[in-house]
Amino acid sequence: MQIRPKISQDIQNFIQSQDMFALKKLHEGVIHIAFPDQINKNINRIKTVFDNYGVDLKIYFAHKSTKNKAFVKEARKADVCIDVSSKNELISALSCGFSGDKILCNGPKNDEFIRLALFHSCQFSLDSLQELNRLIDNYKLLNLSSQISVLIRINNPQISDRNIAFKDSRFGSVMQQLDEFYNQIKLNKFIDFKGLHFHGDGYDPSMKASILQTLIEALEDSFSRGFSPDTVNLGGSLSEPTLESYSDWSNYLELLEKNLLNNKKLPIWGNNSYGLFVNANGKIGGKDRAISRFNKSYFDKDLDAILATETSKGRMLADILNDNMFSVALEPGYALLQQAGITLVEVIEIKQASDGRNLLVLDANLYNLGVAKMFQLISDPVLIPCSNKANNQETPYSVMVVGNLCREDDFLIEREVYFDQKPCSGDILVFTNTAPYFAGFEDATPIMHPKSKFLVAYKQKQEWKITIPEKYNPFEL
Amino acid sequence: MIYNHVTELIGNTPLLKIDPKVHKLQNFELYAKLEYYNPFGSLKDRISWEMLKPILEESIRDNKTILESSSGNTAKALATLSGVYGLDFKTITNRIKVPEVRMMLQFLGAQVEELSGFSECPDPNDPSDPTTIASNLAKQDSDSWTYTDQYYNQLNWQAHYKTGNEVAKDLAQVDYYFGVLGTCGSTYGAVKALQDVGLNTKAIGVIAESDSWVPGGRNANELWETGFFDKDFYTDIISGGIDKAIRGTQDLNRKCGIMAGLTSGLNFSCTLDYLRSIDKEQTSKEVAVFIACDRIESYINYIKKQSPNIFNTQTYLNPTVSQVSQEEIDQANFISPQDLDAKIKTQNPPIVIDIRGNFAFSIGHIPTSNNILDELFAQIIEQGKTFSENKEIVVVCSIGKISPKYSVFLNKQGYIAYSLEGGVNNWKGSGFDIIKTS
Repeated sequence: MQIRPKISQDIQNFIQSQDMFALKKLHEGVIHIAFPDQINKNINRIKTVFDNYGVDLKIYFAHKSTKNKAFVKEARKADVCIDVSSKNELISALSCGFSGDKILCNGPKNDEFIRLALFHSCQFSLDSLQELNRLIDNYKLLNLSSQISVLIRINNPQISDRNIAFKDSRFGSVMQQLDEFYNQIKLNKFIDFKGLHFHGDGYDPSMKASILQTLIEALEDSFSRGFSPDTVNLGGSLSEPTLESYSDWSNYLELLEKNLLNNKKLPIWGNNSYGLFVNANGKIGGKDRAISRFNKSYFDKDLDAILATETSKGRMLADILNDNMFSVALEPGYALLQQAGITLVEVIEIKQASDGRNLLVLDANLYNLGVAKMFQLISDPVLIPCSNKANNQETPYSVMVVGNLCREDDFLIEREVYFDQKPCSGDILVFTNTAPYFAGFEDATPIMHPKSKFLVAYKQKQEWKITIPEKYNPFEL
Repeated sequence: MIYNHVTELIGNTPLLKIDPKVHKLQNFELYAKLEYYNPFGSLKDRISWEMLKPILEESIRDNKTILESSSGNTAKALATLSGVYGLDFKTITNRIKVPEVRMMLQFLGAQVEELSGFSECPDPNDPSDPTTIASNLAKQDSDSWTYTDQYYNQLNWQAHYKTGNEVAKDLAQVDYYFGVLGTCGSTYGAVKALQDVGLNTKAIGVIAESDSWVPGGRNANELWETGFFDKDFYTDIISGGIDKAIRGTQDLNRKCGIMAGLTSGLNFSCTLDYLRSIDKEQTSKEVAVFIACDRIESYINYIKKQSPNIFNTQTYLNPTVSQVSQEEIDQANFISPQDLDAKIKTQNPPIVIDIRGNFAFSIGHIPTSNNILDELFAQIIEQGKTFSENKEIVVVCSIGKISPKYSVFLNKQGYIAYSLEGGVNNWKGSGFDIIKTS
């Protein structure tokens, strides 16, 4: 019963050819290793789709998906733009060489963040009317003379030919407020209205296409108000399968289902059954909350489907975008960092829980992998045994993976994970595909455990090199 | 034959024997139960009518809207039946992937509410599944809604019990019954009926492979979302992907004259594979039935997306713009904004055709240019020579990427034709005048 992750050739090669134990000695806590070159491959997959349609594309790498500057530097070298969501992310982007015109400021913004962005003439995605007003106040306070480009973030596109139930959102503004935005922008000549922004999280390509069409039409309308916007920003949330085979997950759920129905112990800690339960009719009820987390669709295919969509007026979206000379902006973080990082963790010991099952105790905790909420996304880690002595007893050996905190909920993997051999103290677990959002996203130092450490791996003349993000320079490669 | 009401047409569908030359099975007789003969086009007509019947009077009296969570055939049947009885119908779903199905429902007057999927970012407040939302809506406001609840309503499988009885009337022996599992009501009901009349019928469930999606069918992980799924009831559960479904659908339509859709095609393919694998070990003749559940028409575009090669034909009478090859496009004649500007100012200016959409044209175009949308322009010039032969033609698009195909086509017709280098964008960027229409 394995949930095998997809692992790129490069990373497989790295794990097999390099000494993980020597690497682990570089830091007492968790080590996240970045493979920044992978960003270029992921960027190219997106670019290829848009090139096929001749549609102008602006990629804004979502800084929030990582704290590892190696990725930010690589994105700068790839000449994409960047999306920042805090003052410190903005500073980080500037320090990696991004100029203000390539930086888009997103999310809730305090005045400090707004002022620094104004100094550098960054672009803003406005979260609210209140934010627009604070931007205007700060601009006047700073006595600036530059033009400032803004997008308006919308949370409920009004689609004319189908009824999509939009999820309520705490971000952005309702479309009915656009008039108020427009009036306020008209009064302040230094603001350039560049376009609209919608974060299409959780909507399938056909829905995203309808949303895109709606945003295009709203932009067209704004021309009659004297604006000439040119950007439709679809946000991020581009999905990619992370498992070697989706059927691994099916098989696991089948076991879960069988045990639920037969009232047997579940292959998972506690009562967590991914949202499934036995209902009053004695059948499985509920909804598997994890299933859609293991994505089936590829982001380039999805983007292709969006651009190729014929609108209700019979014209392909890509053609309309080209006609109007509108650009599509995307804010991929998860997608650009696919297969771009791994995490090394040391095994403290194996012990038994009160229910007799095995716990694998790691010298790491749920904050190191940002798993507090996202644990469902973790596929099987790779075990690197510290000694070669074959241990054929009790194989496959099943464990649940716990951390080093004083909290009952400090599980890195709550479901049972099966290894070919019994792990022991000093072994290393390699978590794969941890670059987007996992590696250090929620890094903290509870009970004075060390913060995790970022390293960078890259190839020079076919050989692996390791450095720290501060010393990584993609331009000399 | 005269019928007094459309509901009288529901059920009593034909059972068609499949030609052994098609299925090539030695020891099996194979029959298709043609459920698409139902008046609204699918097996779901049966359950829709059975579920609606008992609540009809109350719904009409209290002017309640019929509510269901269905992405396809159940919604279609309920929408039609609701219309017949002057009732409103609404479906809440997150499974419509075929736009024609949605448009069909809209055409029938159904209210279609589509839910989004799960967020990529963790969000505990994510809306849950459509059946929960529909059932909550019905509970909260029972004065306005009647919820038919196909996933749990016992009338679902009971409606298909009648299907089983029909088959039992036609065949004295049914060893295998193949049904695609959706709500799981149809296979369960029909096989239960066959078993209850004493036949030794094995139920075989057909599902989509776990990483595939076939309209109407579920995959293994989705089966428990239904109220009628009982794994032990099935002798086997077999699966196939969209490719297999398309192949099966082609065979049904082309070789058997069965104009059935993708679920039926998946069922047919899986049925044949399954029976072929046990054909040799049979000692006596056995009988198998599979369900052809709905019609092909709404799936054509979806099939085209999955297998475009089926639709590639080279039977155009006239040469078309789309036939212009990439090599020819690479050799296209371009004209710079400066040269075009000079030509426009001469005694014999070229005809300038702007092939962008009307909105784009209205917010900025080249003086003297005419707006003919690309696809329309293609239709016009594909008819033969449209323009006076002593006129030069300049084709203009937004950035000069689309226009070359058209100017090359015109060149081949004998015209002196150019594409504007870099399109209107470059014209504007080079400082030349742009005209707006009010």
